[in-house]
Amino acid sequence: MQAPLSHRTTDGPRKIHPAIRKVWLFSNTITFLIIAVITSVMEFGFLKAVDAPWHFPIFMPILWIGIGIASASLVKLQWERWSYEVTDREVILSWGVWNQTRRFVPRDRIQHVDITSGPLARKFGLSHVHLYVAGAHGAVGAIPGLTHAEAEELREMLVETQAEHV
Amino acid sequence: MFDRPHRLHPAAIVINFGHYFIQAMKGMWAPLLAVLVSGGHSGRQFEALMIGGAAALIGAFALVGPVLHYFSTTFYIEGDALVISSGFVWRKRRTIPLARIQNVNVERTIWHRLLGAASVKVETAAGRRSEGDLAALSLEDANKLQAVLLQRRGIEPEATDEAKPPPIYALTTKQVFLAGMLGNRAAYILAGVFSIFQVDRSDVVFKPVIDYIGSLSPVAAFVAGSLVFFGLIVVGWLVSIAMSATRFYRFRIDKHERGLLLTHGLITQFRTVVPVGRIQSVRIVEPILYRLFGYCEMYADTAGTFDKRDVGAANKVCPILLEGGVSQIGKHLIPEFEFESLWWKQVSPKTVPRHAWRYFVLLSIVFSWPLGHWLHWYALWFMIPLAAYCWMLGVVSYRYVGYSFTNDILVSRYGVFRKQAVMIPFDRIQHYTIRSTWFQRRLGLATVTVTSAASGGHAIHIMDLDAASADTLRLTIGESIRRHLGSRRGGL
Repeated sequence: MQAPLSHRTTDGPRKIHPAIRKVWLFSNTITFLIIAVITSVMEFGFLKAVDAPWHFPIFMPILWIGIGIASASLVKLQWERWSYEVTDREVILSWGVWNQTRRFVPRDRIQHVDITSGPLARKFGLSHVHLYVAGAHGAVGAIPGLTHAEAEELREMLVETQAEHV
Repeated sequence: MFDRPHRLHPAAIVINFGHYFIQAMKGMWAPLLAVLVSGGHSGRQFEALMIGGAAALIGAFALVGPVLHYFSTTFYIEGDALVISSGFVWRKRRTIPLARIQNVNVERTIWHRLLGAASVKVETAAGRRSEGDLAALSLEDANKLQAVLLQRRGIEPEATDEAKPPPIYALTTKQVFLAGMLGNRAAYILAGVFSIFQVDRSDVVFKPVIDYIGSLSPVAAFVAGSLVFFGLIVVGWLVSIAMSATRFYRFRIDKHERGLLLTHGLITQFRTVVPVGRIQSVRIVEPILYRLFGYCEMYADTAGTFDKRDVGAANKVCPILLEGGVSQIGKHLIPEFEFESLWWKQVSPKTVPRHAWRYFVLLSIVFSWPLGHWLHWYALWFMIPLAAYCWMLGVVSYRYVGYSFTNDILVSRYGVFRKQAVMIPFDRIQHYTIRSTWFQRRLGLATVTVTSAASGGHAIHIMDLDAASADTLRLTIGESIRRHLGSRRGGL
């Protein structure tokens, strides 16, 4: 028995929405600020415990704000590297700055598709599409930064071609 | 048959009690030990009272829980589904569609056998544990339920014992002992001893020992330490032999309508059906001692899951097997099984320095503290032989690591001491990935990962392929998956 041929594809790789950079920038800033505050408090506690002449934390705020700035500078590159493509047989996801990854998910293996959108992404009108296959704990791929219409289109495209078998 | 709600066998109360009690004790043994050891000291009565009270409370729970469980649990088959209804306060009704059942295991622990009962475990592809766990049924009911669940999936129940054909594979008692001797579990014993140090009041237990060692001369202390260490290894070895002997006693593989039937066990008897149609990947593992004697182990991973305590051995199709016999069993697991005649492709030789470096960093971290403590800066001299050793490991690894494929299967192999080959049929591949780290890209390398729906997560990882080969391989995989579309057996 031959699985039905699917017809709708993306006609080549597509980029994700540029507004995702702002979402990443915001969420990175918040994350690193929280880490900076927590580690600074720990540093303060440590300096006090060892009875250092200077109790005000310097090292941790500089370290984490530095890492935050470095990661912010990579957001553009991160966006440039993200692309997705739906061919007639596979979904191909490519991402990553340091570790570059290309993941191939055969279309008939997709069990279900989730569309999620967090508060930040919602503010910019963006959604994430998660792909699920059998046996994996969690999604095998999450495409960030799609407009609601794009996400909906992708979802339609993927669920319509599911084979009868798992 | 089973169309009306059925209750469990009353033995379930005893069996669940043991289970609840052991679970509770696992969490309590360390503090209890500490209290017992320090019992004579003054000022600890209150603490002892508290812990004693907690233990009594746990004991009471362990007693009430199973009784309530027994009276509230029923199971029946409704249409095309197994329904298990349980819970006294929070009622739960679990419905397992028969078509989703991956496996049905009948197990008998020593308690089951004393009470004439057996447990039935129903597995589906979801979750990490068996989805339907019936603690105790009469042996007759258990066998009938297993047969009914399998039959309803469109398969005849197995033949009775009288007309049993000769097994596909059986272990002699000698081989069972050999499996135990080759698989040393001393590491578990050591870990167990060290875990005692984690207990708050471990000094009470160890202080006399440490004081005694402190009173010895350094040479005597070293000798005593070494003796204790080797003693533990010997104990681990004996434990391992005993475990293997009880677990794999009278191990045999028979043909079954749904695949292969494994029967084994001295105290707890296992009857596991390996659902051949649902096998996702097959692994051939050769730990170093096994290899010296020309043996290996074989595993078959299905999308079905097993109880946590069984994870180590449940997917094990064969605990010990002569390397030459791999294909004989393999053909029963995957019809397209191919191993001895495969032609292996190597990865890039640039993997040698990368592997060597990784070993070097790891071993340096492990040895830096003891050697640094002992030899101070002179320990740096050890870097030279260590580097040579790591380079050698890198070369050994490079010469073995490889991948191969036929029209139907993809196989990879890796390992230095414990060698392992993973085989996934193309029609079982769920997704595949090419990844390259920054370091790999500088050398023009990439890693290919191929994943099936096997619950253990035993994917094929082919590390440090040169980028062009990685791309060729991924085209081959894509093409082979396409060719096998719609040919999948058994649904998953």
